[in-house]
Amino acid sequence: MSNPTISEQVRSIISDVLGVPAASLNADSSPKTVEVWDSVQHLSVVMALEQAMGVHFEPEEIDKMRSVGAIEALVFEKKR
Amino acid sequence: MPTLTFEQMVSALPAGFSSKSLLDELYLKNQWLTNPMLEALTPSMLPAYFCEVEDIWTTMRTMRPDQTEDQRLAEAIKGLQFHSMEFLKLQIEFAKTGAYKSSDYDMVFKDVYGNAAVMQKYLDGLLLTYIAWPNHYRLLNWYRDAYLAKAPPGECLEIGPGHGWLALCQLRSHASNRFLGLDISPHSVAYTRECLKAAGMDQNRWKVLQVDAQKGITGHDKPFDRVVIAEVIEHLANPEVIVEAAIKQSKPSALFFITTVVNLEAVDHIYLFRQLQDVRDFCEKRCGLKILSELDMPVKMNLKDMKDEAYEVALVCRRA
Repeated sequence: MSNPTISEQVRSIISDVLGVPAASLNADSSPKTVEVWDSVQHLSVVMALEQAMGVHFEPEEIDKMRSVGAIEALVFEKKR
Repeated sequence: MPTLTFEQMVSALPAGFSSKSLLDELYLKNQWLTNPMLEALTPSMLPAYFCEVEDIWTTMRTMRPDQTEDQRLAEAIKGLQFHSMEFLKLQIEFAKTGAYKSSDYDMVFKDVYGNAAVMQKYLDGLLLTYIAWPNHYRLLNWYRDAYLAKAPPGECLEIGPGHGWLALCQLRSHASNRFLGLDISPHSVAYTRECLKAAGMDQNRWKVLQVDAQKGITGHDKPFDRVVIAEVIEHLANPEVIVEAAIKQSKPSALFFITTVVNLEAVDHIYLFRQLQDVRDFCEKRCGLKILSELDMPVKMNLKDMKDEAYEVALVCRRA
């Protein structure tokens, strides 16, 4: 289910957008555990992922992106 | 971190509540958009909140008898998603540039106000923000408490009623209120009319006309006791024109309700207020109003490029 390259890319993007160290992020990191991760930052993450990884997320998918792990899995599916 | 969970909210639903499907869509399937609202709600707020949800959703459903509830729900939620995502995307861009994207009103009219498909989503979404965005829910309650409860009853003017919800509140607030709504968008005119009809308002008490208030305020035969200009002035290149026109058509005792934003972008924002004081100066120094009360609602966004504070602001004013 996971791909080290995609996982690293996703975490790097999230780290950059949120301004938190990539090493501080794990699969369970989420808006509930990362204080700066509010709704506008969530959309910033979505937009940065779309641009960097050449994928598109529907509104329903954006709501399912509830953790770093969930985001990685979704991106992996789209890149397959 | 939410103090209330959705499960706790559901356990407090009153008997006969018929809008649970809307709450499920909002809080189970659009959590990333509605978590701030859940964080803002406390158990003591729930009874009034549920009334608002039921009122808005019942009206929205009644407005579209051609649709099943599921169809209306899907359409309305898409409107909220559209509205919310456009708002957030534009804030991200605004934080980088420090300037509103739109400067041409004619272009905004073509892209937004004159576009039926865009306006349906825009107005549905905007109406739902009253129960999905904490600041808008707070604003609606302040409108009732600080303005409707205190303004003299009689002739009411609203410039830009949009979805018509403030107009509906106006008509409900006093049996003798008569309402005139002027909107530049034919789609807003239609939406407001449908809203007021769906809510059962006596059509002898209200009139909604497609009028560009920048060219003059028409359609009335008496001076106004109440003037509402909500989320309008930031959409115009020269907003003082409509405020001054409304002042001229109102009684000396008239009370004004004006809302706007500071450093917040939207698809049709043109006039940028950079500080709260700019809004106060606009009302008092440019337009000759006296501010009686003010509600400042900070909009906190964790955007590293954002240098200035953002606010939604509402004012109750009288003529100076």
